[in-house]
Amino acid sequence: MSNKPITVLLLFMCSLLFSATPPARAAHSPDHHGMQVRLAACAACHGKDGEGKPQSGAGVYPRLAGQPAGYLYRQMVHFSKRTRTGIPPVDTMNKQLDQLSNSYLHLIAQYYSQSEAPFPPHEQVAPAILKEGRKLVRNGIPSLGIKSCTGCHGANLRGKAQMGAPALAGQYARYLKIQFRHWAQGERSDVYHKKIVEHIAPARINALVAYISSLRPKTTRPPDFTRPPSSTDPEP
Amino acid sequence: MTWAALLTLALTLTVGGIAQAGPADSQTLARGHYLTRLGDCKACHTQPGQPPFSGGRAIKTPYGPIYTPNITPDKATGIGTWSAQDFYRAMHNGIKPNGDYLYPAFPFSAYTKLRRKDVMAIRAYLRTVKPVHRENRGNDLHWPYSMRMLMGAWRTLYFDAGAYIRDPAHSIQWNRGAYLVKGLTHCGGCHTPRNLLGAKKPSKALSGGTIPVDGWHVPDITTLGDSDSKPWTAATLEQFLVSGRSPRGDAAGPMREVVQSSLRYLNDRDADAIAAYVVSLQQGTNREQANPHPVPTQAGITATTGKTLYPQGRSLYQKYCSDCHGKKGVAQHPYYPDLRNSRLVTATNPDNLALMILRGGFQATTKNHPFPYSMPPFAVLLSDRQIAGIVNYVRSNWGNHVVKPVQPDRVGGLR
Repeated sequence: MSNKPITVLLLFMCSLLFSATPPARAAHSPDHHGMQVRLAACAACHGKDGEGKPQSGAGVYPRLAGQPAGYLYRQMVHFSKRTRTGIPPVDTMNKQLDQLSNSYLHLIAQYYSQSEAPFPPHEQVAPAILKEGRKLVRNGIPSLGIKSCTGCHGANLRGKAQMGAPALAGQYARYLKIQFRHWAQGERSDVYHKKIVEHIAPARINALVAYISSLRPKTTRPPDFTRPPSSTDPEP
Repeated sequence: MTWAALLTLALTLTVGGIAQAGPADSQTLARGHYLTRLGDCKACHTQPGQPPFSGGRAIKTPYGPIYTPNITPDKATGIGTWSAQDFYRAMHNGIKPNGDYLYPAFPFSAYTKLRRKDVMAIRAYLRTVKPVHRENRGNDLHWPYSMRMLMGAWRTLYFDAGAYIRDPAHSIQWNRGAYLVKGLTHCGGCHTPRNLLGAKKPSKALSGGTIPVDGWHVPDITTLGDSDSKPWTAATLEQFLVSGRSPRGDAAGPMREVVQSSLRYLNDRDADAIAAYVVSLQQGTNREQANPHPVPTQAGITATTGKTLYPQGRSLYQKYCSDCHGKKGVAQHPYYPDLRNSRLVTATNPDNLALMILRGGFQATTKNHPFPYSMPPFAVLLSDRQIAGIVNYVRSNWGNHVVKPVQPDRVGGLR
């Protein structure tokens, strides 16, 4: 019995200690369906499963399915911090991503990264053009110091998470062309891609993107794929 | 291990924990942090993507952009050399340490209501944020507004310095709400209409207006009680303020940003006080709702105009909107807003509804809703004519009886 006051005092101090620690997370992460219904804003351009909605956007908006999650997360941060702008009609991506928490951006990146949306049929391109594109992708142009695409984007062009390089295989040709234009105009800042667009004739860039766009990888799982943790939706 | 040893350990940990939190005025700092959030200082004094409070964000005004200053404690470019009195004079009188008048884009006509103790708590907190060396940018105001000395005349006409005086006819809670609404949370900054010279019209306090330049129509918050079925109560309003959601609709546009960056941090006592104060302002009839006394009709616009304007509105709604908002404007799930009984839908001014459809976006992120839902920005999918069709369909069906149709060019003007 003589210990009782000490026990009470200890309990009180422990409660002080625990009240100082950060609170447990307010809610579990939403599951796949929960994310799908939450991301209606994204689906308008990128499709429900991140397939890029080629039928309405005609390839203007990129396929997100199967991209390395780290790449998707970083791009969203660029948009929310305004280091990447210029998405039509008027900086739409910046406005959409304003004020979303980091943990939510990670969940969104993971959602699209894990999506296994099928690829649409690719456009018919003359074999000679595809052949030239393949050569550029595999070899680069050594005389100009331009390296192969596969070096950074992976042997199958499915992206390299550790280099921060996105998947290219099967990406829309029109979207890729728009990116080259953005590098040329400085909308996206990347010295290396700017150099490519400055040194290669437009016809060869067209061949390059036509080849990349024609690829159909066997799996859409990105190199940094992790199985989603089982979770329950905080809001049904 | 004895009890004494455990006790010593616990004491050490506890004292260590307190010591880490800072010196004796940690309570002041915590209070200052809270008040700085309620004042929403960071929202204007931070350029997106740049360090907090380092300024540079353009505040668009009809007179040209004003760039907010760096208010970090940096000595060269921030306010690190300001004395307590300098800071108080800026907040209370709108005057810089060098004697220059501040422009009323800085809400000093609201902050003048603050008690000195609260201003000092805000200062104490701001002195703990990371100093950032970032030069202030000059304003691009059009002439003659660019002449700062003209503010002298403006102040004579429109500004009276003075802290909030308690109204003994009302409760402590009501007075706390009034103190916050008129002062720190500066609700009137948007909700009170301004005259041609950017001064707020005191006789029309909180009766709504248009945010300069950005196109959003700010609702009148002195006439919230327009609907019998789901009236705004103090509880509804409190829920709306801290979560951005309510049975009468979600916070949209600039209000969503205010919930996100400021109001969601309100403690229960202050949220209750603001709600109680705003509810007490209610005047009954709502000048802003297009149909305060709805005439029952099934056909809406069709019945009124004799022909269907933009007939594709119905099919477009069913195709693009009904999955979430229901076939008859009653949402399928609690996390989507109803379009019946929605203030935003039936407001006289249709711009907010059109802007919502054009821009879409996520709901506010709050403690209880960390992963908000979103609406597509239909600007990328639909034409002005199609959006006008949806607006007219939604505003004239399921008990909504707005009869004046919106024209496509009005939608186009909001893009």
